[in-house]
Amino acid sequence: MRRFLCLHFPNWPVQWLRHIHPETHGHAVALYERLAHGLSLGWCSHEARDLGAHPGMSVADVRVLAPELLLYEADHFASRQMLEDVCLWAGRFSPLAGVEPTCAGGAGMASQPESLLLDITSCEQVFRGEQNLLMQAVAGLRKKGFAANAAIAPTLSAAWALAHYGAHEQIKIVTGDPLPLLQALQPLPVSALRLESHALAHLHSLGIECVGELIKQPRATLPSRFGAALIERIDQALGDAPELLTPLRPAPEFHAARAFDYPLRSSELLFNIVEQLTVQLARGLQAAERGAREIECWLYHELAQPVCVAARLFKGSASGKHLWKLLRVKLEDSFRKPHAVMLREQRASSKHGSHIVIDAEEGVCAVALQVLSSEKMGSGQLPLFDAGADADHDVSESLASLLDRLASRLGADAVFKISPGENAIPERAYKGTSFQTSIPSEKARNLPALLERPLRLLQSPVSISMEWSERMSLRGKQIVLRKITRPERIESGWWSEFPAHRDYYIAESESGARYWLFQRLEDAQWFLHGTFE
Amino acid sequence: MAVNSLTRSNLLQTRLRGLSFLSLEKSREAVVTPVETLNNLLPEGGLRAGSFVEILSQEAGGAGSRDGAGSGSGAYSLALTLARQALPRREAWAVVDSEGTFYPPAAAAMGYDLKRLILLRPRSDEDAWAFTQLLRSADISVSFWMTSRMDNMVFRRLQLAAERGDGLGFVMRPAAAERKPSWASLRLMASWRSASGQRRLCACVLHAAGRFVPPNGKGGAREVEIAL
Repeated sequence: MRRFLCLHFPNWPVQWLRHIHPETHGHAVALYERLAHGLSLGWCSHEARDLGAHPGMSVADVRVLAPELLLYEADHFASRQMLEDVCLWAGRFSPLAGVEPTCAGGAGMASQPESLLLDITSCEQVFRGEQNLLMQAVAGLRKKGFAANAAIAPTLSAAWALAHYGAHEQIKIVTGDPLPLLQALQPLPVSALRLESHALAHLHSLGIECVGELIKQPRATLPSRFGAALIERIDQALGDAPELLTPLRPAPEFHAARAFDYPLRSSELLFNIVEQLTVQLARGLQAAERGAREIECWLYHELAQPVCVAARLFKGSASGKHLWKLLRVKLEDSFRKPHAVMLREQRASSKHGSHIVIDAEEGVCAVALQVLSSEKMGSGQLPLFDAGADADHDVSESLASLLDRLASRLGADAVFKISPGENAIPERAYKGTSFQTSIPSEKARNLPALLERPLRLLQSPVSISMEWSERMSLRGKQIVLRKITRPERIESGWWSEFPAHRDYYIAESESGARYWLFQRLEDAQWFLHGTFE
Repeated sequence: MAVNSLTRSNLLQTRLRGLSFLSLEKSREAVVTPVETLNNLLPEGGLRAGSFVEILSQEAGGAGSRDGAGSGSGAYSLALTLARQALPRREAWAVVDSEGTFYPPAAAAMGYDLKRLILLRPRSDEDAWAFTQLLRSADISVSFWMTSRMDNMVFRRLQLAAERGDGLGFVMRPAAAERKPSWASLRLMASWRSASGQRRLCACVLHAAGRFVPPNGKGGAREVEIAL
């Protein structure tokens, strides 16, 4: 018997706003959207509704009606991001937790997600019953400052319908028997079935307002009158048709975890335990004859957000030693950062993105290792290099291991292989692609033969002043030129945003250094683009 | 008495064999460069595998290396020229390029197979670690790294890594480092020369492990000119 939990956050964008702007508590607030016809209110707090504001009003009107109303622009990305963060937090109640799917055209479905869906089958045992699980979930959310309606039902649709349209009490549980489920759904409005807007309008026009009235209609006539989706929705709600829950994070294929009685503050001890767990995980992988391709290590604090360090592998590995090496590099990096004692995640301003900081002061109360994706050991691998049909070389274990180590420490975006860029513009003549993400092309090709090119090409050309064939001035330094070649014209990219119309020259200085210069044809400006190092 | 002498002599021989420098000298093979005159100057008749070469370059033109503008003095060209014959030894070759200025098409024009290139663009504080990892690997034939920061600890790590990996490394540094100590098995100074209208790359041997190099000003015995 499957059991599903739906956590519905009524008026979620307003809750999100109040969370990021706590000073708005107690004030009338509304969020507006930029639509084709202008600024329009999308969500209002109940204080704003008391002032007469409602979704759909224009911002100009509401400013006249309620000047004291606080107006903010809606940020769908940020509000969804926060809902996903809450979803990760909700992972403590079930490993399968996801954000509800949305549909812009469905009247019964929100255009922006407001709910979380969890598959809690068998999870209630950990919490000594579903009632306790629900109470803990709602109380935990309240502690975090969110108001939620919750419902547990044997189907996803029923849980969603009850959480959104059930009676006013905050918590509802429907047992797995068909009769109570039917009885619970019957009084709900038909929009609780998440129907398309045209089907809802048709039902309203016929005076069918609640689910019970709809179910009484002859089943055979429903698809032709209201569309095929209606029957599917009814069946899904009653458990006669399957419905998929898409978890925010895929369920791990292999898992190893350990919780501690007291938080661990020693990095050495923590590393020791993670190493033991890695070996345990590797044993599971070896028994299943599979190799990990993606592994995560979660470190849980009591108060601070959990920290995740992840490693992706070029080639599946079931070696505990190798997996531990990859994780160790990242864990050491996380402990090494200067503000490691602060209760927060730190996003460093490095070009390689975010660095996560482990809170050494609060300590780690639990560690969990999970393999998110794996592959059968000994199965065919993608070739490391685009060798083409003429060569046959598979990646060696040790080279794959080296690449994993490099990508783990430097970041996958700092380890490249090179492929032709099919563009005459020098800076686009090749492409650097990550070893871990790229798929080898069918026909591997080398770069086309080029005229003489410098070994160092500046990331951005440097402006210079030029006295033709005599001297050039680079950052205020005069360089006397001895020789300059005939021009090589490169004109390309007319179809793109950054076309190039350039005449390139190789200039040789008195001291023998050679420079790759170009003159931009549009304005006759001179640039240094590279050096023949 | 005779037995004791024999035992002592055996013991001594075993100890001598166990000394690392002796075993190293035996096991290393030479990577012959395409420059015959340079091979003749080197004790093994080529570059020693399991070591790294340091190439210093004159800051010709004074352009400096801010923004990666470089000096145009030929260090990369010299390194790529000397290392070409080492490529087939292993599966891949690699470049550590924290400035992001290395231009692979130019290496392709010199005969390098870009399909076997591993290009690393780490943060500048991670490049020494990255280069060490490449040197330690038994799958990388040649590694290149241009840097201006180096200390004895990094040098020692590079040396140990190169010995373990048995590959070949090239470290390119500014000429200002000439007076600083180096742990490289071969130290060269790169510069360009023009003679009778023909441009040549000049490699001056500053130090070669296992061979006496005459000091500055003692003539051209240690200089090699390479036509590109």
